[in-house]
Amino acid sequence: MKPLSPTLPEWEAALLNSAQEVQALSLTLPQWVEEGGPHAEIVFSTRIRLARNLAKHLFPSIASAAELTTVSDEICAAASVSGVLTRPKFVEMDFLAQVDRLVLVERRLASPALADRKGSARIIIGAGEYASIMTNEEDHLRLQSFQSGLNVRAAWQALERLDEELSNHLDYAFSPQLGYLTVCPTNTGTGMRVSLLVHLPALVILQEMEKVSKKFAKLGLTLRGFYGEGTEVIGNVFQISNQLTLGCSEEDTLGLLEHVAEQLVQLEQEARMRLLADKNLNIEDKVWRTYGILRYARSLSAVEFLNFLSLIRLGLDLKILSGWTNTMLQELMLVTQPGHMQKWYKASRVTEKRDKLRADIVKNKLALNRQ
Amino acid sequence: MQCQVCKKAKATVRYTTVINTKKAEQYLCEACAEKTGMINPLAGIPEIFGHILAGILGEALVSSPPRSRKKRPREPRCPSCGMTFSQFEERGKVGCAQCYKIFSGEMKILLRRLHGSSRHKGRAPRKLISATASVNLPRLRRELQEAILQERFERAAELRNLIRAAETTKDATK
Repeated sequence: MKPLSPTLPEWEAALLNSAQEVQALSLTLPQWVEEGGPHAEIVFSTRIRLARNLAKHLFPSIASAAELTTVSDEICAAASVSGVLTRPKFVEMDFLAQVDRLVLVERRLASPALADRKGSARIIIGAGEYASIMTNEEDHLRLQSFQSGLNVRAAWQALERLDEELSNHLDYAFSPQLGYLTVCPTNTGTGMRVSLLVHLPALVILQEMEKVSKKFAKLGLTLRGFYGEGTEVIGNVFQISNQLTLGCSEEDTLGLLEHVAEQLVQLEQEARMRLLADKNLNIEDKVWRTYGILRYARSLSAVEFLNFLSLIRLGLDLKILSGWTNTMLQELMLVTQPGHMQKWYKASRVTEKRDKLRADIVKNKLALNRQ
Repeated sequence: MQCQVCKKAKATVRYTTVINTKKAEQYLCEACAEKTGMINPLAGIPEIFGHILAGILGEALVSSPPRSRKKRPREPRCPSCGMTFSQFEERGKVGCAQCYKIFSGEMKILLRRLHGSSRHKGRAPRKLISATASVNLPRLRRELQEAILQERFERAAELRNLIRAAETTKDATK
């Protein structure tokens, strides 16, 4: 008979404190956000994720709850000795209240699908939230790496190392012919998705987005609005990501995204200059009016706020406004989301009340930081 | 337009085949199209693709006549998770790693549709590379030559990948 272990492994004990961990996390800004990488005025973030599965277990699409718990346990044990994650936090989704799940989604540590999942889903969060793992999302493992700005190489370096560390302890489902085997064949091969969040207000105002997105479709990339559903684009924030994972190496995909993002940055920069030069559009007036609304509004919906913030950012980049850094605005963007507002300001769950509070928060922050 | 096969019913399906850059079009009724689907293994592709997309997008983008299942002998099942290919088609999700092997033919067609390729060019887990490093390289090369001569290209590709992986490790450990 196997002797009973006198104490739980550290990671298993940590799971019991899941709610406290998320509470502590929710009151800080992710370290990677504070960094401000290359082209941060246009590229908000670089995220790379890898989809992996364990060869010896049924996939989350059909596996039993008991099997999925075993999978999560194996992953946690492997992750607990990872050098990339360095003393990670372990969170059991089942131990979390709705608001805590929302906080994780807003920080992009959990996908909306994972937040809704019941049973055996965990998140393992590395120091500074640079790298993290979701267990039993669509696949057994979803490894993620974040960097501020356009920083594909740094994000990949961390993720590749994490993947290698884990593969020393876990048997990945892999075939030399098809690569990493995933639940959905759209991810088979490298299992890699590189996503960049880009802020393109000038291209939107000058109505050049359609032209740009057509160009990207031909390259096997998708460009779509990040916030909101369907065709509506909120806050002029777009997500650009690769579609193909077979027939191209990780290096091919990284290079393509990097190259395309640099082009996109250049297009947006040029558009911003044209915007500034166009007297009819009077962008200076538009930016100051937006500032006025944000200073004096008594209620702001999340959508309104993101749209206004986009113009404020543009105004800062064009030196129409001054006094705030990108990091301050990133923080404002995070703490005005429903989950974080409930944590930071004990906000109500009622939308109207929250809209009033959002207006207050924005007003104070803008006044405080104005030179 | 009339169905070109039975010459009775109204044609509702256009069937296009391209062989050596020569394009041929056929107009069929639903019943005859179904029959064609039984004969031609490639006729099922749009359906597979349709289901996958439907699984992803939550709506059917491609409509195609349903294949009759009655006439088919018992569908092969994945011995590890019990899934059949039509179940996979409906959900767009496989049940386990074995599914890729069991349904390899259909899977390759689907992957080619999705990615334009069914050949992995990326990295491999290090553990796997070191396992293949101990293999007998000259024997693998001989097998590769044989596979090419016998026109077993799938096997040849597998062997080539194994050889490449082994060579990379060898170089790295030099």
